[in-house]
Order: sequence, then C-alpha cells, then structure tokens
Amino acid sequence: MHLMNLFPGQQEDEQIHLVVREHAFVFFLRVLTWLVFVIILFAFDYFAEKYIPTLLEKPYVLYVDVIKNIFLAYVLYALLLLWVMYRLSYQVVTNERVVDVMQSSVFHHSVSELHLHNIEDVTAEISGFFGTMIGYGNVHIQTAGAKERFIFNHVPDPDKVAKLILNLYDREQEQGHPKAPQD
Amino acid sequence: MNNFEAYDPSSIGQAIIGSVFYISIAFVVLLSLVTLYVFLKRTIERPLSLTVTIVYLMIFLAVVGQGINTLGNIR
Repeated sequence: MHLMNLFPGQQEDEQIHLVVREHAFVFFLRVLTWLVFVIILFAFDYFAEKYIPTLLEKPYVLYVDVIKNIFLAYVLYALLLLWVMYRLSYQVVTNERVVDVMQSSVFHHSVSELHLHNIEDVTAEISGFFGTMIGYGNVHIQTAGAKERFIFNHVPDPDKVAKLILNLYDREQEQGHPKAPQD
Repeated sequence: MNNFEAYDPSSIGQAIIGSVFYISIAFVVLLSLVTLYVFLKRTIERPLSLTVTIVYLMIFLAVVGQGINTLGNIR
C-alpha cells in the first residue's frame, strides 16, 4: 500500500508502526442500512403496481421515473459520503505518538495527537455479537490528568493494537523519556 | 442506442418537473464535487481514491443522463 503523508507535522524519521481504521464489517453494516433506501425504489414499483397502477402508465410513469432518478442520484451520493467518511478517518501509531485523524463530515476534519509519554493506560474492549465473532472492538487510551482520552472505535484486533501501543510506550520509557507530570 | 432529445417543456407540468430535476441534480452535483475534492485532497491512498472517484462519476453521469433522457420523452 502506497501511503502519502499521513498527518500534519509528521517527521521524516518517524517510524509508522500501524495505520488502522474501523473494521470493514462496520462499513458493511452501514452499507446495509443504506440499502434500505435502494429497496424503497423496488418496493415503490411493487406497491404502485398493486395499489396505484395509473402511476405506471404513460405519461405519469415518465414523471415518476424522473423523480426516481433524482432519488437515485441522492442515494448514490449517500454511498459516496459513507465511503469518504470511512476512508478519511483513521488512526496512526508511530514510535513517538498516536494520531487520530477524524473526518466527521465533509467540512469537518480534525487531527489529534498524543505523545506516547503522556499515556497512562491502554484498554482494549471487545463487545457485542459481531465484535466477538469477527474480532473488532475499541481501544481506549487514557492520558495523564484530566485530559480527554483517545478512543479507537471498532478497530480490528484491539488487543494487538493495545499491546503495540504499550510496547512502544515501554520502549520510549527505556530510551529515557520521562513520564509527564500529572495535573 | 438512446437518442437524447433537447428538453423543451410545453406544459406547466413539464416545466415544474424539469425545474425540480435540474435544481436537485445541480445541488447533488455540487455536493459530489466538493466531497470528491475533499476526498482526493485528504486521502492517503491516491490510486484507490482515483479509481473510486472515476467509478462514482461514471455511475452518477449514467443516472443523470437517464433522467435527462426521460425528461425529453415527456410529451
């Protein structure tokens, strides 16, 4: 996979250890929800034929087709939006920090970062039927003091992600970076 | 192959449906272009993003083309 600059302020000598985003199954579940809107199109044809057959005769059917075209264009756009949100939201773990890149809407993009020496605790959490069966969950990173904690939502193999972060934290401590003072 | 006919409304119904269609499509085209711009600007996997963009534009243009064709058939 060819990766461009992952986040602002990325150092040239910074080693990327992990780039992770929500599990593909979570995206698939969203697409299933989106499919409901596609089913509406087919359901309309089915029920119109049964209850309002006039709508399927000329010239009304042409008006209906135009409205269906508009509906389909918006449904297509919704799928694009789902994909864009999915691909543009990811987390990066480097040998120096953890970075959370979040695209929560077309016009809202945020990048938060947390230096490894500020980490207090890392917790992996797997819950729910699909999470247990498919193997995705959340990773909570508690920072020093009252600062907000990082959450990696629905990432694959949260245990491995948590272990990697803790290993990098340990390595950083061994290299002599002091732990940040608590508030 | 479909012959696209120029849209020329001759009744109030056609004018209304034509206006609704073009205004709605103009809005979704604007949204799509802005979204694709943001997507291509911020992506970390350019080849995949370009492929998705091209596929989306092809399908979207087919849907809009179909709509324009249907509008042309309203008499």
